[in-house]
Amino acid sequence: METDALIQTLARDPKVKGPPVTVWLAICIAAALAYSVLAILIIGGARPDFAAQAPWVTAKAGLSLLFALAAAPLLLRLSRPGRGAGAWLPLLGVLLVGCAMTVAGSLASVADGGRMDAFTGGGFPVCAVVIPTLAAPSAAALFLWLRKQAPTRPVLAGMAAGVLSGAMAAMAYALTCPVDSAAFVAMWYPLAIAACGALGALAGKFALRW
Amino acid sequence: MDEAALHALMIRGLAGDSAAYSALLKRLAEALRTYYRRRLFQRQHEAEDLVQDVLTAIHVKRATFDTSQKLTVWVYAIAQYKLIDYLRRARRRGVAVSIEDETELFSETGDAAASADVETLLAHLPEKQRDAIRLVKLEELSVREAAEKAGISESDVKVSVHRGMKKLSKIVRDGEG
Repeated sequence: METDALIQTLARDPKVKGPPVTVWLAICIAAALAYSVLAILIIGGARPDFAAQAPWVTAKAGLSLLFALAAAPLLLRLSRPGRGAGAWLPLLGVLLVGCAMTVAGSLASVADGGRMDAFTGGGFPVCAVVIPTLAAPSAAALFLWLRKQAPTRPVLAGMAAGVLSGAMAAMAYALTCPVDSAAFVAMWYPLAIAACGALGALAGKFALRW
Repeated sequence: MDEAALHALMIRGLAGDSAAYSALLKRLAEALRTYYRRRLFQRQHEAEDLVQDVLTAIHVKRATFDTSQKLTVWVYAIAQYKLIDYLRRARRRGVAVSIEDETELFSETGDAAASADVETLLAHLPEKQRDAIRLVKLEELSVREAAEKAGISESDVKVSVHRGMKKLSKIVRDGEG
């Protein structure tokens, strides 16, 4: 019977070659992070008042790190058949809600005339474009890794890869970002990361079939 | 399925034990066969195609198995994914109704004369569709076997069968046969 022949062929090679999938994922993440920081330093350079504004830089990078810390385990879980999203997907939702509340709270505390500036950073929110653009190569690397895995929910897995790449890009962007306003950061950083997630979900629908 | 025993076979297999791995795949093949036959009713050849598809996927994706998870859950997730994927592709190609077409066709033409009429009917079709239908429907080969025998791709076989069956239904309905 044909199926038995197939089994015999497959059984000749039972052992998995190379390092475990988690090691490859860690390599991908490290490379993506290094690339993001390097690209930002080359394109924009660290902000001139970096030392004086270190707390703001830390806050922005820290917020982005929270998204990355939720997205990475989510991505790993979704890359394996039979593992649901677990608590990590709701956690991303909680982060978004927290950001929305921060926006509302800090806008309420700003004097009437300054709200628009606090919200947009006194001009067009460049980060909403820079972060997704910067994230694209990282997302591509994560997708290459993901294609070797077995995501049974490709859309969700693509979203997790998108969010992770976006969060890493946002961490790097914090080094150069000149706007220091809680309302701005809590609005545009998550929005840029969410946009990466949406693009990842869309790409996952088509690129992650196996 | 006996989770503990299967899980142990998988662990031994991943460590390089071919015999354990082969025993595991055989037991999984049986379980998968039951699973797909129950869900695909009369489309038994396609059920077997799916069994092989999943066995191959299990092998290719075996690095994604986390030894702390249940093997049966992992396999079931793959089996379910492949079933959904199959149904989606079939619907897109429009071949989901292949066998139903056939039974419908034969019940319309009626009795013992039916089989004799088939050849007459088939003569109305282009060669490729005729061959595909002969191999898949009359000789009851799997799509893969038929593709090999006819020297065309598997999707080509499915499309040819589908188009051919559609044309035959139309001929019978219009009374040209």
